[in-house]
Amino acid sequence: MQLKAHMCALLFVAAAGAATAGAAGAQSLSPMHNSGVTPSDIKGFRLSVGNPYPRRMTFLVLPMEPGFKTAAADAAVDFPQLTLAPNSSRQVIVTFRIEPPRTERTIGVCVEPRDLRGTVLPRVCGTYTGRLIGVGG
Amino acid sequence: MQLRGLIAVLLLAPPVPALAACNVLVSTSGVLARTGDATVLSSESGVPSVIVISGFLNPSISISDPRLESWPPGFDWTSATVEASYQAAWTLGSSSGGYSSGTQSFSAGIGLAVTVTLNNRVTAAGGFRQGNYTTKTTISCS
Repeated sequence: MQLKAHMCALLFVAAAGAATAGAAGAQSLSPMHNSGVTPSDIKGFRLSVGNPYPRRMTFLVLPMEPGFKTAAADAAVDFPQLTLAPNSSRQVIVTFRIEPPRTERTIGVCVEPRDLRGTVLPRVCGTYTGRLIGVGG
Repeated sequence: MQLRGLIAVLLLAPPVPALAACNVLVSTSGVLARTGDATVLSSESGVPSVIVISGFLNPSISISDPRLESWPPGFDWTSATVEASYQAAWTLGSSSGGYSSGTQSFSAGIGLAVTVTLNNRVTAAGGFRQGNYTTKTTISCS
């Protein structure tokens, strides 16, 4: 019985261990907050996504509603998925529409690794606010 | 026209301090193991996850959506409850949260690095079938 229990415990540990081997992952996003005006109903921000750690990784860049729970409508990223070499970064441009009669809109952007195995999904999220020019600064 | 406006706006964007970024590194991925209770699997009996978050100014860190990611055939996953707890430490402070299946958040103030130790717990009143169980929890820096 003890052996059986021990075997079961080992099975759990081995399974989880196998699932997590080499699972360390990371990403960075800069800036994490920004705001600005736009002369049109489209606002864009240039963001830097980085892989500061020593292995190649693929990341998803996801426009989200503030709160980072649901995808943002009328928003896009020029490179929604990018693979980065170790210790490298790349700039992406996120654009979103400020639908009239709104004069201001805030969206979130989250960066997360694609296909990362392991017990943790690390995300870095920022918020970006666009305002129509001449409306409240 | 819209493109021209976009370019103009991008050019106007002010420079941003390098510290206004956030790096999230999973340094140790956790391992679930049996506990003395046949209805509970926990990383406290196995290996907790360790996450290092660095390079920021006043980050908000949230731990959310602990979920069962894989389980053996025949296991009633709808009867299982997955919870996460955390302990976080940084240069000038610390934070902790007990087991919860909801979102837990804290603000770390200014520091060079925050180390988060995360535990997962799975409870199934009917017990567990033999096999592989894995969980996943989202950690966000914002």
